[in-house]
Amino acid sequence: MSLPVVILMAESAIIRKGLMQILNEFREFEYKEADHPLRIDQLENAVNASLIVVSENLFHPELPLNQFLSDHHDLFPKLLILRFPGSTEALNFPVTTIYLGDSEQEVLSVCRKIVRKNFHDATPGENAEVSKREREIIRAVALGMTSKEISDMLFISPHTVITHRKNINRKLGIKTVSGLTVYAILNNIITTDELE
Amino acid sequence: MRITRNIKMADVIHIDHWLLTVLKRFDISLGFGEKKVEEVCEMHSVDVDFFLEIANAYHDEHYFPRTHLQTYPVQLLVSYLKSTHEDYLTQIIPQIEEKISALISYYSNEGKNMSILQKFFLEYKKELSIHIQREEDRVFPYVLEIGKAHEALQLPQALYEQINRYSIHDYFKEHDDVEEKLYDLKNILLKYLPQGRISLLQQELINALFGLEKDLNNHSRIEDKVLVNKVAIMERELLTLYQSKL
Repeated sequence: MSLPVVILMAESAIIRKGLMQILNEFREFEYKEADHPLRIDQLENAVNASLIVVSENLFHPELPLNQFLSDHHDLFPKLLILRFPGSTEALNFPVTTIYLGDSEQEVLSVCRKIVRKNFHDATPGENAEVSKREREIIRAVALGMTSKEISDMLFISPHTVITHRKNINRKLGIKTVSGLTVYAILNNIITTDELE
Repeated sequence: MRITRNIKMADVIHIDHWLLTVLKRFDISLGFGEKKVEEVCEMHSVDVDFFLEIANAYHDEHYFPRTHLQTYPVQLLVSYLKSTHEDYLTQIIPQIEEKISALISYYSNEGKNMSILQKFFLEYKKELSIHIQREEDRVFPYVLEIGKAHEALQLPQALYEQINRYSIHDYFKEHDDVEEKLYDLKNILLKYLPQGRISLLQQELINALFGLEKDLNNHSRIEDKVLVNKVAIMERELLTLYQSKL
């Protein structure tokens, strides 16, 4: 259920909120805003971000955009530079750009491409039914066994049990042990009698 | 949209009808006619700044308290939060419980035993009560003591030590899985009940659960943003006062 993160770095609130409005057409995001050029390591989640929009007017001769770019090569796949009409400074790096005057459709399609490259919705198997092994583990959890006990019973490492449990929580959308117990009963993985 | 003292109270509900819940907790009744927020508040002896603070925090998830609205005493806030708690325990939860019972008897007429749902909800209810009890027994008395000290401009030694040892921020750092159980229940109802047409009962139950979740989120936002913020300011001022008297 985690959302792709978009970082918006622009001085103008109108630009930041406007971009959000356009991006909301596409899908739901988690937004981080900054009104000055932060060092990327100051921004939480920069590593996980799927799109980082940077407005070029945050930069000036003492703080050149090209310098910022040369410091952040690793971000190029997710970086989108917002250029202003009449800006003349040539960019020395192959980064994606949009112009302030671009149409809504253009902005949307550029952003969409970048996000699709960097964010993959469902981890593989997310939509699949629970596997046979996962059913075994649901059963054991519903019967009140701990991860350690399950690992002893199934001859697998505790770490593997925990991975299975995380996958189960994600697939079913059920996080608590008592929730899993209800699921197990409704799906005939255990019976009410066994719970006594 | 920010709710202000000069908007008609009826329009406030048009902006966000969930605010009816807040009005109920303030004991404000319907039939506002053309009266503005401040007039309705005055009629019901409600502090209008305090009302606006709560209504905005409830309505807008990005709301952040304004300092100029911080004049109301913290006792008001505590009694508002208590009436919210009471609303959960005496009205909202029992209503959901009734719907779950009705759903279970519906299934049992079809030969299906769904009593496990009831058991699950009882567990949830118990956890929620414990959570609420903890706030009423431990957090609120502390908040009221801070309020008293702040009013008297006098920080007793014991309270001074308490602030340094365990301040309001610490009280709200502790978390439990009350929210997770509600999330699970929604998914169980949506995804794992026996297949069939959606009955009115199911629809009402699911609406009620989404409503409860929203209300709980708004409630904890009021606690996190309004209460914690206000108490933290008072704690800081009290500590400064204490130091200046040394």
